[in-house]
Amino acid sequence: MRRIWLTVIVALAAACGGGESERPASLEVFGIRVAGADYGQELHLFTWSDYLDPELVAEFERTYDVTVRIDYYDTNEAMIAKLQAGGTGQYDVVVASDYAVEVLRKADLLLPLTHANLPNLKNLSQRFREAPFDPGNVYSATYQWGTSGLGVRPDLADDSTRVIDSWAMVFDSASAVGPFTMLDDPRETIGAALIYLGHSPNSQDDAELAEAERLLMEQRSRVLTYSPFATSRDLLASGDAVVAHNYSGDVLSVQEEVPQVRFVIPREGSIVWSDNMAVPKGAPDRRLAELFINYILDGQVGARLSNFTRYASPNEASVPAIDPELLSDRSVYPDSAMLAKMEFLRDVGEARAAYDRIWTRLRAGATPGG
Amino acid sequence: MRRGRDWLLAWTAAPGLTYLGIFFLVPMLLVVVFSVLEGTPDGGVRPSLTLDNYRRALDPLYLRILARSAWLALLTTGVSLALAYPTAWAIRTGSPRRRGLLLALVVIPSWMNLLIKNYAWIVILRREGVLNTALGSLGLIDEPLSLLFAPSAVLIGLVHTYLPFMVLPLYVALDRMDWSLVEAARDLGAGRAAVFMRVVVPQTLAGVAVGCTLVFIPTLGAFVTPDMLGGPDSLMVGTLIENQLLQVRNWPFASALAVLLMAVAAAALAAVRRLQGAAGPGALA
Amino acid sequence: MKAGWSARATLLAVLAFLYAPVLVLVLYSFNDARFSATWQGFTFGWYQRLLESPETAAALRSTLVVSLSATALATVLGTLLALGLHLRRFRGRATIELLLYLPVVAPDIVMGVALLAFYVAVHLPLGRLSIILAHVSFQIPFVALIVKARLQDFPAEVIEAARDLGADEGAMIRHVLLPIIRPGILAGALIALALSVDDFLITYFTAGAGASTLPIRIYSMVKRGVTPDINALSTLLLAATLILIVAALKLQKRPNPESM
Repeated sequence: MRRIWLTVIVALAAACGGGESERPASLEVFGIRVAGADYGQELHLFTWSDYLDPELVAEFERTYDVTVRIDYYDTNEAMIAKLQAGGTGQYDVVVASDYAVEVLRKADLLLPLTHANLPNLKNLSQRFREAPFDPGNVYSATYQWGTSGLGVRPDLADDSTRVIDSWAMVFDSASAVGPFTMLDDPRETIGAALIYLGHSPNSQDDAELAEAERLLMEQRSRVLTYSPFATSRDLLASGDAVVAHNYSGDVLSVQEEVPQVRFVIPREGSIVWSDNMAVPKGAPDRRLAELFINYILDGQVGARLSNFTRYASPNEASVPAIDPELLSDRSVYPDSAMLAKMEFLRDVGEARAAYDRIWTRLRAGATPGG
Repeated sequence: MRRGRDWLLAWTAAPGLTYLGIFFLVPMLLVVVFSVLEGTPDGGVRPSLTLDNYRRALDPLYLRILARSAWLALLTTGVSLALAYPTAWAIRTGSPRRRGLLLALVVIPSWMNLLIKNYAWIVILRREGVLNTALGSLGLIDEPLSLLFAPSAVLIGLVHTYLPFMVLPLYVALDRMDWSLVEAARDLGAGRAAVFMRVVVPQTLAGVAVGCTLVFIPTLGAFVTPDMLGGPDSLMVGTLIENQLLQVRNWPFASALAVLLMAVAAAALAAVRRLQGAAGPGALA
Repeated sequence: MKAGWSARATLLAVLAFLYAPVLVLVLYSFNDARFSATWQGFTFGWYQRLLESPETAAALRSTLVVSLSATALATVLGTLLALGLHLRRFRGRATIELLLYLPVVAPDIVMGVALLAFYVAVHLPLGRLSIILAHVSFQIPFVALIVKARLQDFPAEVIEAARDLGADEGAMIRHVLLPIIRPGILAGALIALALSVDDFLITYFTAGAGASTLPIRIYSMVKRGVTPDINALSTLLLAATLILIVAALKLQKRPNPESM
């Protein structure tokens, strides 16, 4: 019995241990002298998986003589919940989508950025320096951005002559071209219905929301499934779905395997999103966090990042170094006429309960208003 | 002698109970406290007591979701029991040298990550998937079966996940059983069915009860599998709680739902124990 | 009584059912396609990619440390708990037994968030230890319930007999109790290990920075859709488990044919 306990204790001790190493007192990087005492030696990043080129991580580690440790979350909501329940002291930089920045800010979970430490902030395009969820980059700096819309398989469509650039393909049974999936995300899917009806995806108007609910209830029996973006992408690739409500990058990545796949931003408009870097309250190393954010905002680094993720870059200084094929793709970088019809999702505050009621009734198989 | 006995009995249960007291009951008390607080639109709580969260949980919409989850859990338990009993039986009555290997073979698939496993089921069950292709080429079906994104797929996924939880307790029960009674009954001319019903089943009831509990209860709160394999109207209580906590950030309501779910499960367990108690003392562990 | 053909047929059917997704997983780990939709040709590429990923290796290490230590601790505590509940008649025992089921039914996400809030309140630093402590709390009931089922109908006279023969407590436990409940302990430990290895939500909330386990890595990767190298990893893990277990069974000297 005693041996077992001993084993357990040794295992626990081993689990908690960790090595320490010496680091230089100061060094010079790109002509800027960085005092060693300014920041620690470990940067803790909380982000999506496969969202940062490992070569950039290695370069950052080499340049500043630090170690980058990355932890992953699977949804913005899970990330918010972890920070809100007290997990704030863990991370130096979190990557949060537009509305998530707003939620974190309102919950008083973010530190304001020290602009003096972020000279590269000027590289962000106007659109992201005055983003509605954080005007003036007080708390966040944009990392990547993209849109949601419809992935289509014209080769499998019932009637290939049909127009394929409208939400009608999923909302109007007369315009349907085949089996389709919707995103398993209340805001995206209710937002799509609102846009199709000519309303804002951030509507807080009861009548508009009721109209959207009726549309979604009518649509439900024709939906193959409400799926997360990875499943929805796979179903489009396999042909089980002919139309899939999804994010741009996820649909476009399928093209390398199934070239027939197209991504369309419906003519009624759609939702634009951005992921942003922010420093949570209680961050162990605020100075190092800002060093990292400034590094990502560098023009060359930003271009390499976008070439790796295949998403759009918010960085104007990156444009010359971005893969021209990516840059000319209108579904990655929509033109300004289309951009004018796109909206960021915002935190809807008290209306969140109304959105939740619609979603719960929809997914529970209840009847409208029931 | 007496002193030694007390010493043994005093310490055995204590460490485990203390542990659960600290790392389960205390955090769960936090949940109970949350469930009677008022939520704020920002996802926080107001320090004022209310029973509104429980009142809201009794809305027919939520009761319907709970009933559907309970039905699915019951179905999963029934199918698992029907498959696991003969399986455990075949393992226990087979060659002693193969028992360990067969049990390991039953358990190993449950170490496969749930997401990966469900993705594999999507590949198997989809319209032009492995199963439909196989059945079609064998001439068994004319039209592909629409199994995926329907309750059938959820049932398949859940049984796959929880079957080992049924097989292991059943095997342990069969292994512990007094097999000489079986031989004796056979020698006295009892038929296979009679031996099974009168001798085997009563001796393995404790294992059946534990197995059913270990399958029914986790399935009741399952949400990953219904989410991934279920159809458009497959919302289960596990997903409902997750949505309330993460999407709506209404922690008090999520807490109330969780407390209610635990109460329902505890009530079901108490009922089963009472039934078992009436059937025969000591029938249930 | 031998197994009839129907029981043996069920066993085979059950194994086929259990291994169907495993087979797909193994096959697709060699599929030259990123989106696992259709068969695109044979490749070793995902295994190569796997070897080049230090993060996956770190997550694997974290998972092994967490699962093995948690399972060891939970098996000891759960077994003792079952013994105590079975051997001692005391007031409130029935209630405690019922309470044992609560961690089984508590929704993972609620338990994860509650544990995180609790850790923060008592200033327990988040790391690997905090994950292990959380895992043990949901593993104990599973071990205790399965061991207790094994103890059911265990004749108390055996203990008395051992005592009358002058055995002390330690000898009694080693030579009388343990051999009887060993299969129960093993079964409980196997289930506890399975639960720990694959736990996502509770681990996610209780993990400190840098302590991410494999399920966290897998969830975040699969949600973004980089699955083939995860298929390769799962295949390797399943193969390693199978080889270890078969080797252990071969090596095991078995004095007692009744044991697992």
